[in-house]
Amino acid sequence: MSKKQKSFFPTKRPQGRRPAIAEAALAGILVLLGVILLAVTITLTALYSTPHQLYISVGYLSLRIILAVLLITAGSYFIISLLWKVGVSRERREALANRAGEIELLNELRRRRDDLPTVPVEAPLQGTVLPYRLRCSQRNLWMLISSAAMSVSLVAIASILVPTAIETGSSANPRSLALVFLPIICLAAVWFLYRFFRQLLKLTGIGPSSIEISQYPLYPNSKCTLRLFQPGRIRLKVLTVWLICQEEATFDQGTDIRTERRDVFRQRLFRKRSVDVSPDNPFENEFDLKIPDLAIHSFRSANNRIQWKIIVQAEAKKWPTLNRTFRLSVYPRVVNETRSVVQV
Amino acid sequence: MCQYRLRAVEGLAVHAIETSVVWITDGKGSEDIGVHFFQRTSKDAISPTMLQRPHRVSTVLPNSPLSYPGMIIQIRWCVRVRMFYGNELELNQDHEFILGDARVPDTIGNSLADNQKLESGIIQGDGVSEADPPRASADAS
Repeated sequence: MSKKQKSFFPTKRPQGRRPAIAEAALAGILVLLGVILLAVTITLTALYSTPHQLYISVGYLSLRIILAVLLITAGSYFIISLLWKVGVSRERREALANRAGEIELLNELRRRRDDLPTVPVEAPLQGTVLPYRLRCSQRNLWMLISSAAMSVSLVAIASILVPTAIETGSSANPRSLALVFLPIICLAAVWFLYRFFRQLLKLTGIGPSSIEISQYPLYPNSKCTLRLFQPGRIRLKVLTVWLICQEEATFDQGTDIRTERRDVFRQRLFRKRSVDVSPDNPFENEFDLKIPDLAIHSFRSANNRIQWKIIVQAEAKKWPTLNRTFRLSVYPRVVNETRSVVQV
Repeated sequence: MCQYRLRAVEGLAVHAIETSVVWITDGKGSEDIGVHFFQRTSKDAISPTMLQRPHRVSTVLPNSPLSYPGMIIQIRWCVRVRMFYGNELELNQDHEFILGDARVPDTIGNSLADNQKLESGIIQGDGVSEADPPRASADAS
């Protein structure tokens, strides 16, 4: 069941955190070098070229620009490959492979949705060991993208300011303001680079969680089996799986729109300490789930929502805690077919 | 089935009567409403004898949403009768009933100490929406 994930580095390497760091660091350094080279080349050429003569020869200029673009392209490719490989591969593969079964399941869920207004349908994928696989909420890539964009921009600005500051540092020329701004920009660039690498490691170090379920949808008092599949490149301190029922209310407060969430039911389904995971040896385990009797069903209206979900919580030393959310559809128990009229 | 009797205000002509079966959300969030059944009786069909006799509402209820007395969300079902007089005056009466037997699960699981890192609520101010107070002039039984 566990499928081996290939690294884009063909060499065999030990398992653990180091390979992820090495790959991510190398990819980031390539982009960084490319940006610096490109920025410095363009800046120097613009500053010191005359209308009749370039700062450097055309051939050398072209070579530097091509080299910079290649470095940026290669680094970006490695980063995207790394994210793709650890982020979506298994689920995507299964979704594509089981497309036909998924459509049948969707049709069945749509039919049930018509019978159950206000009950949201969270359509699962087909599983590999158990019949269904729950969909994981999308991971937030915006933090990674924004950190990358900010760090690259700041590094580019710093690369432009460095030759300017060196050239005019001792003069009273207004350009010497570069000396003032350069340390600030460098510090900001380092901070965003740190954020970028931290986010990259967080996304790539703890691989995509996957949960399969024996029965779907669920009803109050129903029992089923869950199977957790957790690859990665790290030693987890604690791995915990929770069943949560959460109320979510959105309301206006002045000119703001606020949302309050409250967990009204929380049950720990599984917990294990000291879990070693790797792409070649992912962690797998089965455990039971029971929806409480008389529990409220999933509910969604414009401003209010009752949501059942499973949260996989992974904690590792010196890493930020990672929460992955899998939404569940809990349907109401149909008491009888001839539903009562208004019971006053 | 629900039965109700109207008591019209003397001296005012009833322009229309609306009867509906609705679910309404209460609690922290803005109010949502779902109309399951709706019936409007226009002025032409209203007569003094019609106002005096009992009226019945009958509808097959859906499977969801069930009545729910949650912590920050409550779902309640009611039969709502609204009487329209002239000059934008209207009176209404809600009569609540319970659909289903759902309730908040009575346990919060185990190991509360571990919950602090889970996604949890952010309470920012008191934004409880209030339903309109009944401006009633109808009896329901």
